[in-house]
Amino acid sequence: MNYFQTIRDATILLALVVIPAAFLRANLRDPSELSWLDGALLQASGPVQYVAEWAADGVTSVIEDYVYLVDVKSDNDHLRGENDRLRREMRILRGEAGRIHELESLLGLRERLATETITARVIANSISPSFRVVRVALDQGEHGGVRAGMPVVANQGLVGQIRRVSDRFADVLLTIDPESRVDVVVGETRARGRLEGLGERNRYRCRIQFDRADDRVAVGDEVFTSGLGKKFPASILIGYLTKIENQELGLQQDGEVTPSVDFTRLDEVLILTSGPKDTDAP
Amino acid sequence: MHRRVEGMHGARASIIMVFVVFAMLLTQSAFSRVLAPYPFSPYLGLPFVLALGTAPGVRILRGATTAFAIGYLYDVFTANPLGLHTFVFVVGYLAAWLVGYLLTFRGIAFEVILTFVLTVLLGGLLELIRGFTPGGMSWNGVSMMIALFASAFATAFVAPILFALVRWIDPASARSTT
Repeated sequence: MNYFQTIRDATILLALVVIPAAFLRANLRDPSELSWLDGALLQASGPVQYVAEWAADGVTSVIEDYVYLVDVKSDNDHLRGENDRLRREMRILRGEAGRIHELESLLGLRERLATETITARVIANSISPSFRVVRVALDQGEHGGVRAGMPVVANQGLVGQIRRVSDRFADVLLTIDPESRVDVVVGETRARGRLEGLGERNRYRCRIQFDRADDRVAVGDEVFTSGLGKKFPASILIGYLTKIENQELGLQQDGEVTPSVDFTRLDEVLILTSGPKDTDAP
Repeated sequence: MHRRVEGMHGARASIIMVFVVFAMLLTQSAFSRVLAPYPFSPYLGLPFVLALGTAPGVRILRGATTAFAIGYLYDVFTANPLGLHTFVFVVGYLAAWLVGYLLTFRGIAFEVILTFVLTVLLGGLLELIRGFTPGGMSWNGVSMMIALFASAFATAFVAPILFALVRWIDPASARSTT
């Protein structure tokens, strides 16, 4: 390294110390006391600093936004989990509310029936291959005072009657079962008839055979228990007349009844205990 | 000719170093909000300057220029009066160069001790200059000492990695000048 280079390097080195010191001095001074040199330095440094800060802020904000997004994702996951939990709780509460509503309805039904009843819970639905309920089991048996032949009603209407009883459980013969027989009255004319289950696999239907061919009935008429034979109390809704056959022939009048009870959604039922306690089911 | 090629390699290494410090500053400023390491906030740029100062293969002019650029980056990022870190980093570089000139001892212990001592001294110089800033922060003595030493400790802790990074970026810094 020759003498000239040494002097050059020393000068540049000195400048590297002096220049920032001069900038610093200009920045630290009271603006009212700035010399022309300080003013010139600040004028020169301002735009440079502005551009550098603008670039740095831009890059920093991108990274900060990313970090913020990471936080947002974690918050999102947390809120999603909480949302799932609240939805689950809401489903449970809705189920409970429905059950309470059903129990309240049963309570009203019990008061209307004015008979002694036992509340029972459906513990099993036997489902046919076409997903139709053909048998219902209850959680009350002989220990609870249940006997074969006792009527079983739900808020929507007649379910059937007790078919078999064990110590703690009972099977119900549904109104749609082919073995079921119920004496009924239909519509405002109180046309009498006999209701039998059709036992069809693909739909819930009963067949009604009217006692008189000239009774005036219409599709949509309500079908109630008649109270004859004392198997069932009178005036329990069974269903609605959905089809009338042989009306025009005048010999015998038949029809089809759709039960008012949705057997797939039974939860709580009442067993009427003060009625006849036949030991043999029909 | 050979000297010119070596100079170009050195300049390229210095530019890369400035970009690396820039990236580290961005990362540190972005993640400091999340990690909140105060008062253990390291001066990540300072070990670069000290490594260049004690590297026998780096010409003093290039080292000082690089320290100037790194200091300027700090000024921009820390919103301090322009020239504060630039001045302190160039002074720090010269101090490290002097230490490297006087001492032949090297190694991880040297890097850690040098970084710790110079970070405390340069940090003190920074606070001293800041004290003259109109409307600048007025420090409580104890909290300033805690901040200075904690920061120096954190910087010394990461210094060996950053010294190694400088040697990796600029292999010439590991060689002695001829």
